[in-house]
Amino acid sequence: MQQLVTTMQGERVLLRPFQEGDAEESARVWTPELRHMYGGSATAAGRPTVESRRRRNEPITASGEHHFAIEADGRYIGFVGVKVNDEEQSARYRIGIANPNYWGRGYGTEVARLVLRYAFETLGLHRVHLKVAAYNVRARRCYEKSGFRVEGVLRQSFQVDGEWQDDVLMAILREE
Amino acid sequence: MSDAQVRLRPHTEADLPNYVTWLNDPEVTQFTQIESGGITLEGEREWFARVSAPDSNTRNWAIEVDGRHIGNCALHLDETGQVGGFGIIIGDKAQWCKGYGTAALREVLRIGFGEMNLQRIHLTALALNARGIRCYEKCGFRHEGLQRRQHLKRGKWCDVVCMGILREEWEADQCSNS
Repeated sequence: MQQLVTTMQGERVLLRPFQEGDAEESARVWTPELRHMYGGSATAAGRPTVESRRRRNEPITASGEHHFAIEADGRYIGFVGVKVNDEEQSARYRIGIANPNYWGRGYGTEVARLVLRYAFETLGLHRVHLKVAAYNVRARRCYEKSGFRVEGVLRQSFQVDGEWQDDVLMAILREE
Repeated sequence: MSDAQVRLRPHTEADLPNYVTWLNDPEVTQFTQIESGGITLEGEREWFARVSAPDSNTRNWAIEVDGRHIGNCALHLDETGQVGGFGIIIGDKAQWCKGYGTAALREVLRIGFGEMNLQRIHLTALALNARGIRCYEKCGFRHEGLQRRQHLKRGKWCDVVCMGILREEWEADQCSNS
């Protein structure tokens, strides 16, 4: 499926294709807390290089995932995407706001509203779902505000720094 | 029926013609997330090569009852090798409702927790698969979620049930059963 729209303008955010400079900005603002939000170690050494961010952006572009870079105040702050399953007419949602200055201020909710409208109205999907680490309370609240409902908790689904952690499954249907 | 009749063995290429027959039977796949039709021996051979490769994270077993091949089951490990996803099909329809699936699953749990040292085994099932879900409950799986209208089955949206069992729960079951 072709990406039907390449940019979307919200109140404070612009969703647009990746461009030159995004990988640099993504590597610059990266913090270990970001890795932890995705179920990675909170304490391990090492941080992504510009090259690794660029390598990450390319496959996202090639995979057929509908994705956008998130821009606010004229700068790259993260990315968002929906990976469509054509047979199921559904998609998996994922978002990463890399810049900590934009956490906890409703940016994720604004992005979700734009992307959900795109998924349901432009792509005609009937369901959008996601999986989030149970301890990522801020993200869960954002998804709930955006209309996602909790569908389940996968107990001890993955390990972080030696501790087993739960995953939460959430989804929103078109009529919701 | 005793569990002793049911045996798991690594599946082989010689099992593939049975898979083709079973998976192309709409009655066999009616409660599964696989759809019948278009399953070929060629396709199954490719799949077999993939899951048999040294870097494969899947373990497949043929289910035998008194030496007769009646179905297949598998564990798909995640990238850490500590969490496994379970799948099963009893293809020989004459052998349905005899508790063989339950016996096979108990053996997979023993291998998964007892030998492979997994922490968690989980599965998904169509909500309309009442018999399967009862079997999973009997074996100690707990309901963890309901994915609403997740799967399109023969033109109808179906809810998908998520279930899981943890190592501690399985170990506790072993104590209370013995």
